[in-house]
Amino acid sequence: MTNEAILKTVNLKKYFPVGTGFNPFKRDEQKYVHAVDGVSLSIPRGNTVGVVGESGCGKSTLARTIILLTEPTSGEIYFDGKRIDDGHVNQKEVYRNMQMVFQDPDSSLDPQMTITRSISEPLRGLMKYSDAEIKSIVRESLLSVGLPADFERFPRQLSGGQKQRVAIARAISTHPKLVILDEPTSALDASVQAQILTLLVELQKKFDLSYMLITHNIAVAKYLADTVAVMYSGKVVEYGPTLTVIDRPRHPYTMTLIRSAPIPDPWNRNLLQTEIKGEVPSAINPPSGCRFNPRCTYSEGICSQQSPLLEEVSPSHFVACHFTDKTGSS
Amino acid sequence: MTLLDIDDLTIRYATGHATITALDSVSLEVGENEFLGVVGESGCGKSTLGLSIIGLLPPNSQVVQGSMNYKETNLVKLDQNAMKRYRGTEIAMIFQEPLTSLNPVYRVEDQIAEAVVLRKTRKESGEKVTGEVMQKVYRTKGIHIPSRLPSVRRRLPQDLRSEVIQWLNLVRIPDPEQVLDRYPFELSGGMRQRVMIAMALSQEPALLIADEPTTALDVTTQAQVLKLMRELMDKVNTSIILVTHDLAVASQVADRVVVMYAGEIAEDAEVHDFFSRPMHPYAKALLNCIPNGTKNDSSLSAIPGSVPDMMLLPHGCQFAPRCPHVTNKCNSNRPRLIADQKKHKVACFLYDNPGGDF
Amino acid sequence: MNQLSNEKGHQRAKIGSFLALIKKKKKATVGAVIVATFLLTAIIIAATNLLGIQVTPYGALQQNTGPPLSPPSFSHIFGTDLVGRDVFSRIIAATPNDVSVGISVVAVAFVLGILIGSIAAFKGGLFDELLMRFTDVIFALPALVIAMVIAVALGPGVLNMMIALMIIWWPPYARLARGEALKIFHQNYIEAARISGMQNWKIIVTHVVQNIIGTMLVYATLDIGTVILMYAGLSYLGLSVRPPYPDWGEMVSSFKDYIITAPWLPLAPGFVIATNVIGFCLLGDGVRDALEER
Repeated sequence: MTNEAILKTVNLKKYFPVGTGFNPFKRDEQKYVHAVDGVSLSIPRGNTVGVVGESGCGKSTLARTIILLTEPTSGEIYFDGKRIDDGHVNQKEVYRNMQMVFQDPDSSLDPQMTITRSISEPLRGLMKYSDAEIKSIVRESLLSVGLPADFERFPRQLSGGQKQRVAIARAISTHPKLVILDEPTSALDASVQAQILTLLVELQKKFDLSYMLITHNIAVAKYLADTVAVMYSGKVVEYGPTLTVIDRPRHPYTMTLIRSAPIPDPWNRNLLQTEIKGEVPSAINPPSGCRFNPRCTYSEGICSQQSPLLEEVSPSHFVACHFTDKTGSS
Repeated sequence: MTLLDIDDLTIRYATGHATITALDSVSLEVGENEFLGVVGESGCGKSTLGLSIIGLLPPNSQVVQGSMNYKETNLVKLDQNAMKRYRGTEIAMIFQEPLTSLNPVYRVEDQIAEAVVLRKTRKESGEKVTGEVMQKVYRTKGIHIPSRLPSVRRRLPQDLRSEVIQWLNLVRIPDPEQVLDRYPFELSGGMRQRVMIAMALSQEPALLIADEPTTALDVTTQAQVLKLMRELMDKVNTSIILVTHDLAVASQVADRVVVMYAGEIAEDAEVHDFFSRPMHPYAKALLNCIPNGTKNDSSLSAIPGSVPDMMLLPHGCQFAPRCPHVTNKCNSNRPRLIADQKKHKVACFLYDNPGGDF
Repeated sequence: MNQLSNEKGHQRAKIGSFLALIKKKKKATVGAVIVATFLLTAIIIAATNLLGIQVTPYGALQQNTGPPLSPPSFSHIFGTDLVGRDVFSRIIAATPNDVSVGISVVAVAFVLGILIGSIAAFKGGLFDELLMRFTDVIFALPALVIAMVIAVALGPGVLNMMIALMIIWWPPYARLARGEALKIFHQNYIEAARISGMQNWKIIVTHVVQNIIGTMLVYATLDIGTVILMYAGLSYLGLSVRPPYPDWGEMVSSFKDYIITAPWLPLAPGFVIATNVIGFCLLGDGVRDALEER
């Protein structure tokens, strides 16, 4: 099955300058937040790639850089084979095929716009449809997300789950090829989360969508994603098929992350057995060598000197660690 | 021995347009050295439950009926003044958002020192600790004295300082000497939450209520904080009520699980018993909502419908409109909470048959 | 078509909801009644002035309508002044001055403020800094001094005082608009609008302005009272209309010596100024309370 990538990034970097420096004498001392520090990943057509990590790992910045909401510092982004990160790209063309669903349902809808108007926004901005066509597409989108076709309401009249459905309806209204989901269910109750996840699976099949799923929730990533990339301090530390990465992780950070995720099983209190020291490192002055080395139990000399590259440890399974032989046996 | 006995508690809020019943005839017990997990989705009343125990309900709330007996005293009957004797001393609470729980203008050492000194002063002078007494103590001990120049900053007396460091060590904060001088905004979420726990536990409370303490934290930090709470419970001889929306979290740390729905207790059981045989249809549905496996090999069954509007509650069982086993009886009558031999309680007519399963 | 009728529907809905808010709170309703009365009076006077009709009981400039300095009576509700002019008629005739200054200064400040504030918030960086420092400079200019300069340069009068106030009144609006706009720019729906292909100006107009207009309108309504007070002060100092033309502030000033002997003279225009300002304050306060409740 040839699955060319719908999206590919090559060594993508996004650095943010720190502090508003007007001082020309201090120009050389300008510090940067290394939010995304060399990420290369690809999303095969029709697949879901889950990007997993904790706060500060750069996953949200990665999403926003890929969707061009913020300009990359360096690196390349290819959508459907074509380069989109240079200034000459037709952004409207890109957005017709790539959309995003945001984390906070309360802030993704304009409170003084009806939701039908919000859903029609990409149609009005990106396509040349007549009003009648727009109206019918909006109705169709509402139905696809499980809402009534005549849903003329304001966001404040809706529940969190309904708002998120509206956000999804808006994202799919132009029938994009790729939808970036930024923590789509983190703000929702468990039962609502289940509804939205089921909906997302359904929509993927129905409209042949590819997803990039950003989440900190391992269970959600395991459920939805075909491939998982684990990010830590701006870099991808492990990458591979979902079950491999989650059930048989090889990077020390991934191992800790998986073990820290609570599972609903009182006979397996993995939570009480994990131990991790330290905190997420500063993004301005990351540790030298492997970013995880100060907190890693397998760390040795080389770890603080050289940053490990992603290496294939088993088919399609990549890990960035100097001691994958040690982690493999544990 | 039962530490806290809540019986038939009903609490209502008066808002501009309607009255919301936040808790409806809630009954539960908390024993000594017990870790209770109160689980439910938003609007189920779990936060109200926590706030009512510690007496921090908003002014528009009203206890309509019921009692809350803490060591023979009915907390419901106490006014704010009388409640002060318990709040922060025997019953402590930590909240979800650590940044707003800690005072941003005081250093960590001052805040913990204040808690420690408060406890000591209370012990020495009994209940007669007033604001003026505390102010005097602060001045003598050098707590909360702001100073801009680090060189003239008054330091805490050595004994107080080492006790504060002891508490920081207990909550596993690395480099406590450094952390002492920090302000809350300089700490990470996990550290702030640990400071909160230190402050709460320094009072040596018999009961600690934790309202979603890890919801705002990262996964790994959450694991550490929960682990810490579990360990400290035994060390400091405290009972903990953990309010959370996450059943998985409760399963990892709680001794007993209480599931709430729309202001009522749906099920109440020992944790292993609960997970091996969940009884209430809502509890079962909630368990099925937790993603467990991939989309290809498992299915997430969502609960049809949505949580009821708290202002228009149905008459009978609150869950009836969404329950797959609903009968006529469920719509008109409210099931009572009944227990089996293993003290596994459930409020559902499936089990409440005269001469039936129970 | 569909879009347009939708828009009209929205405008009607907005006006309708504004009226609903006014009805909701008692003080807003009271305030609205007072404001409406003054507004109506101002419009009628202005219109009839243009048409040359007199609607007041006596001419505003008409002298000897009764014995000079006579106290309030049925024929002269607020008494008469030094030269026998009916104070009541003069007060009514002066309504357009204060009301028009109040509303137009605030209107200009409102528009200027939203423009400057939202663009500064949008651009950010150096542009934002420069714009805001410029705002600070204007904000530092004292109203009185500017008014006097204008009075010297262009002469006294209602229009010139209006201009003077318009120059310096907008900075708080710009600051408020910028603060509110910054909050809006952090919302996800702005990002959603960007990836929907919306041009920047469209985003500002449809998303930002629409969401900050509520807060700004409340501030503006409350502010009209302040402008009226300020204008009354300026005309008290003689920088606006000169006698024999009537103007509330000017009347208070020329009658101030009579506070003991003929108290109705300075009190009448003062009372009217106060009522007008209170009307706007009640309206603004009430609408804000109603909005907060929602």
